[in-house]
Amino acid sequence: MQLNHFVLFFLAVALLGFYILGSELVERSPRWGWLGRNRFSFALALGVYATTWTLFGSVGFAATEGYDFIAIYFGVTLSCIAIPFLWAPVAELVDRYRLGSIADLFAFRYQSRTLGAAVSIFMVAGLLPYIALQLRAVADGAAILVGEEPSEALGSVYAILLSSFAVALGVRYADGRAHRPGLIATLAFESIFKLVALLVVGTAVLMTIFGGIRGLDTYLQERPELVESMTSPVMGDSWISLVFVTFCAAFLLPRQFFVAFVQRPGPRSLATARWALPLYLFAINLPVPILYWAGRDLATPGIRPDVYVLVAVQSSPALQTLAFLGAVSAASAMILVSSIALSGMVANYLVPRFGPSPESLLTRWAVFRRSTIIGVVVAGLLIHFTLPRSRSLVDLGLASFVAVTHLLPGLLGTLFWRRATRAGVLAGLVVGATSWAVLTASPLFGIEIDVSGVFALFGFTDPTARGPAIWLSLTAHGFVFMGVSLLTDRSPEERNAAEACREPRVTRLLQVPDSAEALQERLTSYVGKQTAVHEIYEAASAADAYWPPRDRPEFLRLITELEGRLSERIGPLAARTYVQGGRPVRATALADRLRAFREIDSLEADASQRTSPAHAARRYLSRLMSELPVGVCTVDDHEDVVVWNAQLERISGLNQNDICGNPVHDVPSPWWPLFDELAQQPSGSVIEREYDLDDQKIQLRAQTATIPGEVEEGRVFVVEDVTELRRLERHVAHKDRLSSIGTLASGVAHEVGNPLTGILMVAKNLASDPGADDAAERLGIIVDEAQRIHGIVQSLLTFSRRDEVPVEVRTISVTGVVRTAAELAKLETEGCRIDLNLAVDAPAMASPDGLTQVLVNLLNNARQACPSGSTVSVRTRLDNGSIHIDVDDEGPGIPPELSERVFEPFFTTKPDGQGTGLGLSVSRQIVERFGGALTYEPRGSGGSRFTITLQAHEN
Amino acid sequence: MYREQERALLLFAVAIVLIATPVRAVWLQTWWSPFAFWLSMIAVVALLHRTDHAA
Repeated sequence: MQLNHFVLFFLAVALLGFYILGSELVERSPRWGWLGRNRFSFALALGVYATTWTLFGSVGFAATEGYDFIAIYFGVTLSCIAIPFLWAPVAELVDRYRLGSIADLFAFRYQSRTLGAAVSIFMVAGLLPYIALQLRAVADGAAILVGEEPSEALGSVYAILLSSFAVALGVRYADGRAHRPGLIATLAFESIFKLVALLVVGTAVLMTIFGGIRGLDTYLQERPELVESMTSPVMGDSWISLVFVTFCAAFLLPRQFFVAFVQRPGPRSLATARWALPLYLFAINLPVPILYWAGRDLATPGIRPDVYVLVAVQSSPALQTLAFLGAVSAASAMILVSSIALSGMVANYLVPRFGPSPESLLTRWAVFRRSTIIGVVVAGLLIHFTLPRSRSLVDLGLASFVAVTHLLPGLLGTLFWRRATRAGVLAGLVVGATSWAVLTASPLFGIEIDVSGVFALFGFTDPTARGPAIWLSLTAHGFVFMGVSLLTDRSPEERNAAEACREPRVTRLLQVPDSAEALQERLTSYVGKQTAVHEIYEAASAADAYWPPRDRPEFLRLITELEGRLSERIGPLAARTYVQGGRPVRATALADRLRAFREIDSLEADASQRTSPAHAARRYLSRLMSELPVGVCTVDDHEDVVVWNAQLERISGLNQNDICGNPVHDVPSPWWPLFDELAQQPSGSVIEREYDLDDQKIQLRAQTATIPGEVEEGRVFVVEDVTELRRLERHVAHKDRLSSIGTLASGVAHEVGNPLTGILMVAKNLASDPGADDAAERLGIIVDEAQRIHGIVQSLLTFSRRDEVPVEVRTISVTGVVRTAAELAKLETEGCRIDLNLAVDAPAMASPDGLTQVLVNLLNNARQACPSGSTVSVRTRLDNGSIHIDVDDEGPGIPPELSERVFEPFFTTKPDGQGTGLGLSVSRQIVERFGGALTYEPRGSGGSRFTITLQAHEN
Repeated sequence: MYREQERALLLFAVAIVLIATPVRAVWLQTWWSPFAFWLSMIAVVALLHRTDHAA
C-alpha cells in the first residue's frame, strides 16, 4: 500500500495537536501538574537532544563512519558524569540570578550587553544549520514514503507545519518564566514517543529480516568485514573530536541549556539526569546498527543512508509511518525549544539595539514574539533550501555542535577564572566565530577556502578531516581569550559579578537603594509609575513581604525577588540596572516590554490565583516553616516525609530534596530511630539524646505532636540542636562553683589558720621539750588539728573539682547534703549564723554534688543579704510526697517588682563587681535537671525564702 | 569540593581514559561490545548516584 501526502500530513498534525492539548492540560490542571515537575520527566525532556539526527541521521552516520555515530552520545554520557562539578554550578547561577539563556549568563558574568548580543548572534547563526537538518529530514522522509523525489515544496509544507507548532506552543512558553510543567511534560512524552517508535521499528526489523539476535549474530559472522567497518573508525582521529564537541553540546546547545537549567524542576533533577539521560540515549541508539545493516541490504542504488530507517521497513507502511512520525516528533520538539531559547536571546539583546520602536513593541507584543519564532524557523528553512543536497544530516548537525564548543572558554572563565574579562571573551568569541564560519560553515554551502597551508603548519595533513578544524579554531580561541584577559582590566562591576559567580551569596546585593521609597522612585524613573508599582507589588506578593517593607531583611528579600522577576523578563543586566541603579541601556524599550508583560499577566487565568489570600497564606506558611530556627519534619498519614525544613537540613546534613516524598523509615540513622522512639511517646513528649554525627557528638532535644485532620492524620517532629546550650550550661555551672570558692576563700583562711596556729604552738613546745610526759597527748592534738584541716581541704576539692559531665541523679540523704553545704557556707567569716532545723529526713532523688552547690549558693546569698548577727535558717519538711528545703533569711527581701526576675541569667541586686547574676539561674537549672524545682517567695516577717522541692524517693 | 563532586571527578577521569585513549580498543572486540561498555558505564554512574544520595 502506498502512503499519500494527505494521510501523512494529517497524522503529523494530529500528533502535534495532541502535544499541544497535553501541554495545556498539564499546565492548567493541578491533577496532572506533577507530570511536569517529576525528575524523571525532566530527564526524559533532556532527551530533546535526540533529534531527527538520531532517528534518521545516525543510521547514515553509521553507514559512512561506523560506530563513530555513538561518539555523539558518549560525549553526552561523559558530560552527565561531569554534572556535579560542571552542570551544577551553572544551574546554581541560573537559579540564583534567574537567567534565561547562555547569553544571559555571559552578559551577567562579564557585565556586557554587547557580549550577550554577540553570543545571541553567534548562536542564531550556529543553530540555523541544525534547524535546517530537521526540516530536511522530515521532508525527505515524507518524499520517500510517498515514492517521490524530495522537493522544496514538500519541505515548505512541513516547515510551515513545524513552525506553526513552534509558534503555538512557543508563545505560550516564551514569556521568560522558568519551570513550566506543561513544556517539560510535552518534551518528556515526545521523548517516549520517538524512543518507542525507533524501538518498535528496530525490533520488527531484527525479528523479520534477521530472525532475532541469533540470526543477526550469524549474519555478522558470515560478514566479518561489516563488523570491522563499524569498529575500526572508532580508533581514528574523528572519535575524540566528536566526543569533545558533544560533551559541550550536551549542556551548551541553547535548547539543552534551556531545559537543563532554566526549566529544571528542582535541585534533585540533575542528579537523576546523570544516569537517566545516558540510559535513554543508550536505548534509543540500540536499533541504529540493526537498521543500518538491514537498510544497506534493501536499499536501491541512489538512496541516501540517512533514510535507511524507512527503507528497512519498506514492506510495512504502518512501521514506515511510525518511524516518520517519530522523526516529526523529534523535529518539532527540537524546533520548539530552540526557537524559544533563541527568541529569548534575540528579545533580550538584539531587539533593544536594533528592534522596533518602543511604542510599536508595546502594542504588538504577541505579534513580535510569534514573528521572532517564525523568523528563526524560516531562516532555518532558507538554509535548508540553500544547502547542497549532497550534505548529510550529520554534516549539518555537527556544524552547530562545533559552534557551541566556542562557548566553553567563556563558561569556564565564568565558573573557575575570576581574571577572565569581557574583552577577552569577546575577542575569543570573534576569533572562534570567524574560524567556525571559514572552516566549518562555508564548506556546507560549497564555499571552499584553502587553509591547507595553515593546517600544515601544525602538522595536520588532511584538511578535510573534522579534528583539525575543531582543535585549531578552539586553540586559537583559547589563546586569544586568555591573552586578552590577562592584558585587560576588569571594571568594578565585572569584578563584582565575577565574585558573585564564585560566591553568589556574598555579593548578591551590594548597591541596594537606601529605602523603599528610593527603590520605587528609581524603578518609576525607568518604567513609569504604573508599571513600577505593578512589578513591586507582584514581587512583594511572591516574597511574602509588606509594602513598604517592615524591616531591612524583608526589604532585601523583596529586592531579591524583584530583581529575579525582572531578570526573567528583561535579562539580568537590565534588571540590576533598574533595581540597583546604573546607566540605563535602552531603558525605554525594556520598560515597554515590562508593560506588555503586565498586560499578559492580567490576561492569564492563574494570575488571580497567584495573588489570592489562600495562595499567599500557603506561601507564608511555607516561608515560615523554612525560616523557623528549629528543625521541623512532618510526615503524612502514609508515613511519607512532607516537610524537612532548612534548619533540619543544617542539623542533619541531609538535603530536603532527598528526603521529602520518601517514607520516613528510609531516613538515615539516627533520624529515623529518633523519630520512631518519639512516635511511641504521647503527643507533646520531649526526649533528649546524644549521637555521634560525622565524628562529632551532638545533643538533640526532640518532641513530637500529632497533626489532627478530618481525614488524614500526620505527625510533626521538632528537633533542636542543644549541644552548645548544654555545653554552656555545664561551663557556667563550673564557673559558678569557682565563684563560690572565691567567696569562701577568706573563710577558708580563717578555718585553716586556727588549727594551723594550734599545730605550730604544740609542735614548738614538743620541739623544746621532746621528752615531756604528755608528748603523746600533744601529738594527738596535732593529728586532730591536721585532720580538721584535711577535712576542710577535701570538702573544697570535692566542691571545685567536679568535672563538667551532667549531674548523676540517685537516692540521697537530704539532711546529710544540707549539713555538708552548711559546713562549707560557714567557712565565710562574715555574715550571720546558720541555724539548721532538719526534723524531717527522707531520701530524695537528686545529685549530691549538684544539690550541695545549690545550697551553698543559697546560703551564701542569704548570709550576704542578712544584717550581721541575724540568723539564716534551713528547714526540711515533707509534703505530698515531696521533700522541701526552705532557706530563710532576715534580710531586706527582694522588691516585689523584681521578684519575677531573680532567676534570670545575669540579673543581680548586688553592687557592681560583687555578683555575676548567674548563681540563681544556674541553681534553678541544676535542680530542674534532677526533676525538682527552686522557687522564691517573700517572707511575711520580711526577708526571703528560697525553697528547693525534690521528689521523695519511694521505697 | 564536596564528596559527590570528588567522586564524579574521579569517575570522569577514568571514563576519559577508557573513551578517549587507545584503551578504547578493549571494548571494540565485537559488534555488541561498545553497547555493553556503554551500559556498564551508565550502571556505574547510577550506582554512584545511589550511594551519593544514600550517604
